[in-house]
Amino acid sequence: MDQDLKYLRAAQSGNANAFRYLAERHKDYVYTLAFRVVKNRETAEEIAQDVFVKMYKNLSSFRGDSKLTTWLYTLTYRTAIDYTRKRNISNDSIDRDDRYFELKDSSSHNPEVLMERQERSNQIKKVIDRLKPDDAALITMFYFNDKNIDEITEITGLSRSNVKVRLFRLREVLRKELVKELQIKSKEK
Amino acid sequence: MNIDELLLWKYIDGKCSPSEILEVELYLKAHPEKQLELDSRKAFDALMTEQPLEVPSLRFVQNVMEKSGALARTTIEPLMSARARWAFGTLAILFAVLYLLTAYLLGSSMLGNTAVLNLVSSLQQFTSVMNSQIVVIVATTSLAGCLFFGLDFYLNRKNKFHTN
Repeated sequence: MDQDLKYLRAAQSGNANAFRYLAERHKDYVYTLAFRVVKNRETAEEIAQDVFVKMYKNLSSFRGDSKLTTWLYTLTYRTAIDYTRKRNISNDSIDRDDRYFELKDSSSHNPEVLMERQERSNQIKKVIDRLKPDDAALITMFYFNDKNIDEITEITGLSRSNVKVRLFRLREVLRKELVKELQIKSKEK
Repeated sequence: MNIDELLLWKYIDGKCSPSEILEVELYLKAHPEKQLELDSRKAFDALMTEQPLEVPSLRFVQNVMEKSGALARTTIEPLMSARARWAFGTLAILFAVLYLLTAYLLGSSMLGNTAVLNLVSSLQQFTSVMNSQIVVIVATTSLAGCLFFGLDFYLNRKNKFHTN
């Protein structure tokens, strides 16, 4: 039996420790997804907690037809996106056609050799921060979820082809932006 | 010949069909300068995959437990499995009914009284007349069984999840 399902069944029959285990196991992913969408640590923490509270309250309705993670990430995605819509968080993104086409393709420099690991990680965060909320969610789910497009389709409710095209465009934009950022950094040095 | 960028990503993801793989490889052979672009995409992909997850506050799970009310709920283990519970409960009730019925019929035939209100005296008469250990065992077991069944049923209901 799936490890998650085993603990979920225990949680459904009232075992608080089983629920604690599930929260412990999935908290980082849920928090990361929320953080990438709302771009604020405190809000992301509140949203992630809210997601687990909702999960707890609806435990009895989960029948195990889909993976627990799909259910959990769908809750996270919807809660975070709803939050950004209610708060009217800016939908400006680096993934706008005008800026996209302005970017020069400077991929002749391999990013891997330009920066230290930590610096690169910070740059990636910076670049992802400039994506609009739903794009940030897509790219996060893609890279943290074994590039599982079917699961992303289920979570977001978007069509498979839409997810594929958007991901392709996002990866291209992010890569070019990242190269640009890294080049600026290397020039500063 | 130009190649679709979407195909390059598909190639990196390892999702290409054999014919698509061949197409990409032929293209790269014909355009060696494009190999750098492919490498750049691969490097980007590796960086993205290696990204660590963000970590919430240390009190995160504790806050979830408190907010959800999971901590307030005391778990009481059921005394037996659901199947055993129903089998045992049904048996206990059957014994009790059988005991009461037999006692009533026997008692009333001995006393020549069929009034329901005389049930208690019928039981007393029945137990004293029969004076059999079997009667006592059946009576005690069935009544204890009913109590046990009732208690287990109550605990089980208490353990059910309240979703609101």
